[in-house]
Amino acid sequence: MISFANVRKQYPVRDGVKTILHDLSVRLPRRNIAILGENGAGKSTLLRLISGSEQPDAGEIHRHAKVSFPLGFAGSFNGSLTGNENARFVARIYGQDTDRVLDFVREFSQLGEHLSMPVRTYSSGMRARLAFGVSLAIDFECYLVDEITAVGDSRFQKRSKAAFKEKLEQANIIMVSHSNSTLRDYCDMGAVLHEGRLTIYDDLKDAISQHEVNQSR
Amino acid sequence: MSAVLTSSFGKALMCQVRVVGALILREMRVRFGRSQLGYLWAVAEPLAYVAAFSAMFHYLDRHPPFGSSMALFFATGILPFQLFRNLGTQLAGAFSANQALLTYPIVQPIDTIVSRAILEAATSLFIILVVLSAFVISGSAPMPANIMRLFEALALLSLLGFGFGLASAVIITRINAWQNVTRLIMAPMLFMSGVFYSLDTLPMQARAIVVWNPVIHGVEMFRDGYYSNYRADEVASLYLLVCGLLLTFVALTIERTIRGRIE
Repeated sequence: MISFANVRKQYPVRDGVKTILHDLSVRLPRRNIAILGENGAGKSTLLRLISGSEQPDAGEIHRHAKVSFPLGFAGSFNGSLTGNENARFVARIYGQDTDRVLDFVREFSQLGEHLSMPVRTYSSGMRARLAFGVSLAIDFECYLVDEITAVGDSRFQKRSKAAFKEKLEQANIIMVSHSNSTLRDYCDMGAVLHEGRLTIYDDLKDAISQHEVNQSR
Repeated sequence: MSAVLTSSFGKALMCQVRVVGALILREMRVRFGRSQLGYLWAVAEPLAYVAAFSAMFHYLDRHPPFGSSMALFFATGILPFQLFRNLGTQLAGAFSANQALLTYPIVQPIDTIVSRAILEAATSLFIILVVLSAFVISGSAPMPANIMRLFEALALLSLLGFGFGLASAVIITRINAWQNVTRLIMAPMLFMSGVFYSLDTLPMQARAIVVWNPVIHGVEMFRDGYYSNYRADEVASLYLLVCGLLLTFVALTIERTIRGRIE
């Protein structure tokens, strides 16, 4: 469970400030939550706030669970290090057994020889597979996923879906995606971020229809 | 309650030690590459300075400013100087170079500073040890006269480099152009820090200026520790200490006020 108490987050933009969260107080239950919102509403920022990699301007966020880092395209990998070295680094900072993590990553990502090549030689799909493998190798209680499930070929998508489904027996997911079908696959409730306000919907269907109303305005 | 506090503090500390350790290993890989050759380059750099300047001064038919060996005089200048310079420049870039790592909420900005500081100081000490040992073993220099004095100089220069680098890193997060200011300060430092001369041999007017540079006090202190009869009357170790502490204190204060907004 993650709770927000009077959280405010703003960004300076060319003409003034953009408010992403306006005094938000909410408790996100231990469920699989889809986050919806139009482009630029601040969905990725919201995920970074939840993970703790970004701080709110005011208010507090409490995490009563081991929350992952946001899994997205924005690479946190060092290009001159190999896939293995990057995976080893993440395993170390989270205090995991590095051999176990490397085994899992090799098995899951199917990157083979590429794992001993510098990450800068990877395509964006390969990077995403590495990122996916690394985060799934670490046991988080809440996975934050940002637009990343649509990578790779259908075989990889199937494999990652299966791996996630297995994880989601003990863990939860908070997901940002533009694909409603992906959201329906993983999530059972929704939250719509619109003009600085986050509205929680117990049923994902209601969240999606509200999001569509917002978009057509 | 206090037991709970201590254990959660202990846990946080353990976590930070783990993160800093992982960062050091990662940084080593990036900087020195996969082979031991990377470390060789780090040692080669000050040696190249020593060789080039000794040769130059030799052909200019100049006497060493102190002692009989030109190479030893330069080495005892460039070695402590590069400890300060490497700490300063590497730390100044720590936040910007490791920005992507802050995606991992477990990595705090200050961890990237601490890990770079440890790696830089250790590398510089290693270089100093290798170069000076080479001098002593080859018989071209005596053993240092006062090892404690050497370490005192290195510790104070490390503190100064840490303060300078941390302050720069923090300011750069707000004012990007500060990178250029840092470079502007560092560029004349080699000539302002007594690497090529001793304070004692400078004309009074020049001495009155360079004596404000805290680095020269560290360099002169290092020579004072190496040579048994070095003239180091004007060395003020307290001034060097105060400068280092002041920079560190100011940097930490600024870091605290803008924490969480390092972007």
